[in-house]
Amino acid sequence: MALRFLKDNRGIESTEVALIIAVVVLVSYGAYRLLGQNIASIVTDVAGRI
Amino acid sequence: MIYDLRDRDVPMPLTVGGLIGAGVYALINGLWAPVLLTIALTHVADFNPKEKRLAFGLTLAAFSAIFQPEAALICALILGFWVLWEFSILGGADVKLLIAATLVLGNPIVLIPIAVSGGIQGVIASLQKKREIPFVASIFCGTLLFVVYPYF
Repeated sequence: MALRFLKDNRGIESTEVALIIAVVVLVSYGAYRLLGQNIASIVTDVAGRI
Repeated sequence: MIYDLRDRDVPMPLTVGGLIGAGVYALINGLWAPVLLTIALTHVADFNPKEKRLAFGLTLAAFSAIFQPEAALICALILGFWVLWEFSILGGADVKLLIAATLVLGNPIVLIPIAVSGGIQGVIASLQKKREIPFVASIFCGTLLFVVYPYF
C-alpha cells in the first residue's frame, strides 16, 4: 500500500495561492450570506416539485 | 508549525497523528461520514490515473453528504482540500491539518479565519519579495482565532 496522501509532508504554498484562497473563501462566504436563504428556498421548491 | 517554519516539511507522525486523533474525536461527536470520507480519500489517492481518483473522490463525497446531510458542507470542504492537494496547490501536511481542524471543530466556518490569516501572510510575504510561505502558520493562527474569538 503506497498511501501517497499520508506520506506527503509538504507544508509550503506560494503567496499567490494563499491570496487566491483568501479571496475565494471570503467571496464565497459573502455570496452565501447574501443568497443563502434564496438558494435554500429554491432547492426546497425543486425538491417539492420532484 | 515550528518544523514547517524551519524545514517547510512537517514530520509525518505529527500530521498523521493529528488526523487520527481528530478522526476519533469526530467519530465520538457523531461526524462519521466525514471521517469515512477522509479514510476513503486516503486510499483513493493511490488509484491511477488521476481522472479515476477525482471521479472516485467526487462520488464518495456525494455519498457521504447524502448519508449524513448535516455534515454535507464538511464533506464538501474535505473533498475541496483533497482536490487542491491532488492538483499540488496545497501541500500534504497542510491538507491533513486542515482536515483535522475541520473534523475537531465540526464547523466549516473555521476556514474563514484560516483563509484570512493565509491572505495576510501572503501579502506580508509578497511585500518582502518572498515567493513561498509556510501555510501551517496560518492554519494554526486561524484555528486559534476561531477557538478563542467567542471568549472576547
